[in-house]
Amino acid sequence: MRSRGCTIDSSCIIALDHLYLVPQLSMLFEIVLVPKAVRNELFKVRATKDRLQLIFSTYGFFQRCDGYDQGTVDFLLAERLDPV
Amino acid sequence: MKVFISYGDVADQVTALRLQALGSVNGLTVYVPPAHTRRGAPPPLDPEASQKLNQAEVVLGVVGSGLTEACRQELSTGLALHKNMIVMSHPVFAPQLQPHFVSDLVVIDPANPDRVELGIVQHLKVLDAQQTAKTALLALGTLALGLLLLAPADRS
Repeated sequence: MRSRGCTIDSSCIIALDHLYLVPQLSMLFEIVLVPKAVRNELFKVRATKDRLQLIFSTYGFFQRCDGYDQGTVDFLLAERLDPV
Repeated sequence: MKVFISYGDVADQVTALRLQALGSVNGLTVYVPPAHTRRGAPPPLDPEASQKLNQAEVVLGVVGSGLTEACRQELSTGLALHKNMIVMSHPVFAPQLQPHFVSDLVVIDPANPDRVELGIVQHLKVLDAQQTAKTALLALGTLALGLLLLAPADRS
């Protein structure tokens, strides 16, 4: 059986943390990837920076994601900016 | 009822957190140590984990992907405190655990899960504990068995 993973964005992290539902995410996924851009965004504010660091320290299934294809990212962003 | 789940490795924390969620909806207060206790050099027992271990009535060991020093310390402390315990282990780690946790160890045989279940029941028969503790151990042990059997097969 393959492990299920997902990529998470800032608003989801903030909402799940606010609702104390971060550990429950483990019911759905074995790995939750936090991209660099999401980390940078959350690290801009002291409160969210501290929370994210605590999440990384407490939950092993939250992992930093630094390896991704920039071409795919550009393609997806362009698609979002220019819906057909 | 307070339950302490000691997991072998960071990768086993997902199983422990799932057990925590399932236990919580059934009225159990389940503590799972933070992931940083399983990373880096083996530290002395985490103070918060030590306190939770003292307060726990039941200790469940979940060793599926690895066995860290922190887990070994927690299980040894649980044993020293005479807690009601079951250690569910993948066969790979059984030889390391066997000398210390002979009577509390249940080795998971993926080919014969019914025998594992029988092992849990037999262990509980000889355990001198309250019925609520036995029920919690049986439920959590069975759930742990299912979660470990269904865990991704690509473990190292």
